[in-house]
Amino acid sequence: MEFSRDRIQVLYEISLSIGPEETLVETAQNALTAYLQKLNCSAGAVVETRPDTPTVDVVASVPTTPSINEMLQAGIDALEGPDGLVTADLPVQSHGEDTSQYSILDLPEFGVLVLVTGGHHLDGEMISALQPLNEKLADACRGRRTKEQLRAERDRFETLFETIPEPVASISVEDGKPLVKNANPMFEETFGADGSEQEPPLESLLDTESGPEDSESAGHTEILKRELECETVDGRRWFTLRSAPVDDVETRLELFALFVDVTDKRRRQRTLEQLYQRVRSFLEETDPQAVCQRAVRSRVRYSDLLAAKFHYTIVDNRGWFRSQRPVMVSIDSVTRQDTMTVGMECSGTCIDRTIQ
Amino acid sequence: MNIERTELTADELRDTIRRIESDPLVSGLLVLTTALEELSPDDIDSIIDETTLPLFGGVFPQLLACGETVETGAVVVGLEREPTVSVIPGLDEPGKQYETFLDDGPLECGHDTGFVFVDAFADRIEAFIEALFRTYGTALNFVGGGAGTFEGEYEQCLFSNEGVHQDTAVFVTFDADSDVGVRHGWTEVAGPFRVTESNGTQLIELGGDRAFDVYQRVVEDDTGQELTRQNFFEVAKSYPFGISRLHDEQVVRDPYEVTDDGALNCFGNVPEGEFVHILRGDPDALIDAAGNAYDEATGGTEPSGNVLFFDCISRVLYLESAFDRELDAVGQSNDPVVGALTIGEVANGGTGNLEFYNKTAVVSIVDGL
Repeated sequence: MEFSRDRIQVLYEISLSIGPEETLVETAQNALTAYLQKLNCSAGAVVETRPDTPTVDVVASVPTTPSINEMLQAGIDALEGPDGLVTADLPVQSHGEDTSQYSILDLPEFGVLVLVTGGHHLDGEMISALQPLNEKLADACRGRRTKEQLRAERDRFETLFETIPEPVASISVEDGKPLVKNANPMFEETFGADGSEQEPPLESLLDTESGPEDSESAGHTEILKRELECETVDGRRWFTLRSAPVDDVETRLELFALFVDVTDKRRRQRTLEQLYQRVRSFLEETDPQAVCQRAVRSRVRYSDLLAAKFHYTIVDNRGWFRSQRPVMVSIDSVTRQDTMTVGMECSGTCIDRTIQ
Repeated sequence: MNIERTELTADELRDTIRRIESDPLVSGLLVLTTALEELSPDDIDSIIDETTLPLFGGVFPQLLACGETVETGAVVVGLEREPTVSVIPGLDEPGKQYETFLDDGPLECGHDTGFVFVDAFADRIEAFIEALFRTYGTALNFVGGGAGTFEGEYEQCLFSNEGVHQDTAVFVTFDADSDVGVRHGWTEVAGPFRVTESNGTQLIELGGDRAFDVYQRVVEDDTGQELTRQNFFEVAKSYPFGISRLHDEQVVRDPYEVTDDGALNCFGNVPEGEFVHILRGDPDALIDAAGNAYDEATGGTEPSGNVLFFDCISRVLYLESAFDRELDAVGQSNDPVVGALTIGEVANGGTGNLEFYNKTAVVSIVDGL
């Protein structure tokens, strides 16, 4: 039977309304409105189904609350639950108690289209003719869903990028020169705004001649790690720079760079090393008085004290006190060089503050 | 339902409304008027201000009361069922979301009939109609039409207790059973033509040619008389456009004006990319269609409620003296008790999509109004 001109027109006009809109809901809503108008339907819905779950999501429906229309709700209910309709069952049509009917049509790899008609019914020929349009709608919905997921990911990343308490920048390499394309507020707070003199030495990002200790693997991405000293708005500070290529690992034309301020860590490390050296020298010292002097000197040096006085008791190997000798250690507040004097002061106090 | 006709002076309208309002059975007022110098929007506003009952209505080209047309005057209807009246503003505002003005209240109250009056010259009538359908679907049976006058002397053409309104819709719901029939009877004379350019209600190009040129060629071929900008309105009333719908009559679009650059202004949207036909009228076909709309509403049986009739004023202009036959066809022995001759019609009988029509007869049987 020849497909009537009116039907071809109707199909063509529906097809005009199928296409990606700003959001998935708008994409589904626009198309659904056209289906309902052109096919003279009383209700309908675009429903997203997922093979791994028995529930469905109504992306767009007319009326907006499907339960207002009994046949539409019945059509949606038929999709839910462990015994819900699956793609292989479609298309499906079912009649209500009155003249109404629902038709459930497949939107491949997205979900289904539910159409409710009143005084007339969609015949098999029309349902077959709608198939390419349904595929087009499914394609538009899938595309929009993917874009929305990507947008959500991007939004999450942007939030992270903006709020991370370390300087982060995206860098692009143009003519062999690394340029900051985008930087988070902490980057600008640390190194100054774009064009300031404190820009970190980004050239080191391009130095890929590194040993295994300078790189770490995160999934399939190789992260380069450097420790470098940079000029900041607060003076020179040390950073651990981690950079990961956004595009190709080999070309490294787009990079993300994370600067972790390790100045304090480095200072603490240096202090620890010095303490270690002193402890070693205590252990190697045989004269008890010299041990005590060194101990007090270290205590004063690393406790921000200006001076301390103490007395010490030497116990011989039989447990007898051999002697008590008060010692005073003071630190030059400018040079931090210590001097030691011996006197007869009380023990347990310090000049500057109490020793805890 | 308590109906009174009145002459169009402010005092007479005020007295009529007070008289009907004093009826203890009356819970709401439907006020329909035609345009007249003796009744200004300010007069209407002051009368509304004195009214205590829920009130709605509008200014229409002509009215219907007790089976007769009313060319000048007012019809006041006292309603036994209390209406819930909503005013939806901004029918000219691009991008306005009308769903925000529509809530589940009517459905929660068990209402199943809705009256919809829109400013016929507003640009976004269809957007509002779509929002209405998206919100209520077919849970409500809708009837109504476009208010205003062709001369445009009543820009504030809709009423509610809030006053007189322009560029708005007045949406009213009742707890009253109803049935609706919609038919027009216009038939294809040429087409389809693809709408290659349009802007809302303005039809700019058909098949890549100026819309007026295409329309002129078809109409002149069919009538054998010259179609000019000057006689356009007179001739165009017999040749509207039709937009296809599956298993239903085409939706009619009424061109009423030619622009300087050869575009045609229509009542209602003509979407770009769609196909339109040029339709032709035949008095007998139109009158039969109105009778069919009545049969559709009654289901072919004696109506159990009041017959309301919203018919397009352009059908009156086309049928002229034969319009009495159309009125006879609607209601037959049960004359339409009240109605309006509108500029565009709104209807949905519960089995299809809610549409804004032109040149169409809408009959509703409302029980217990």
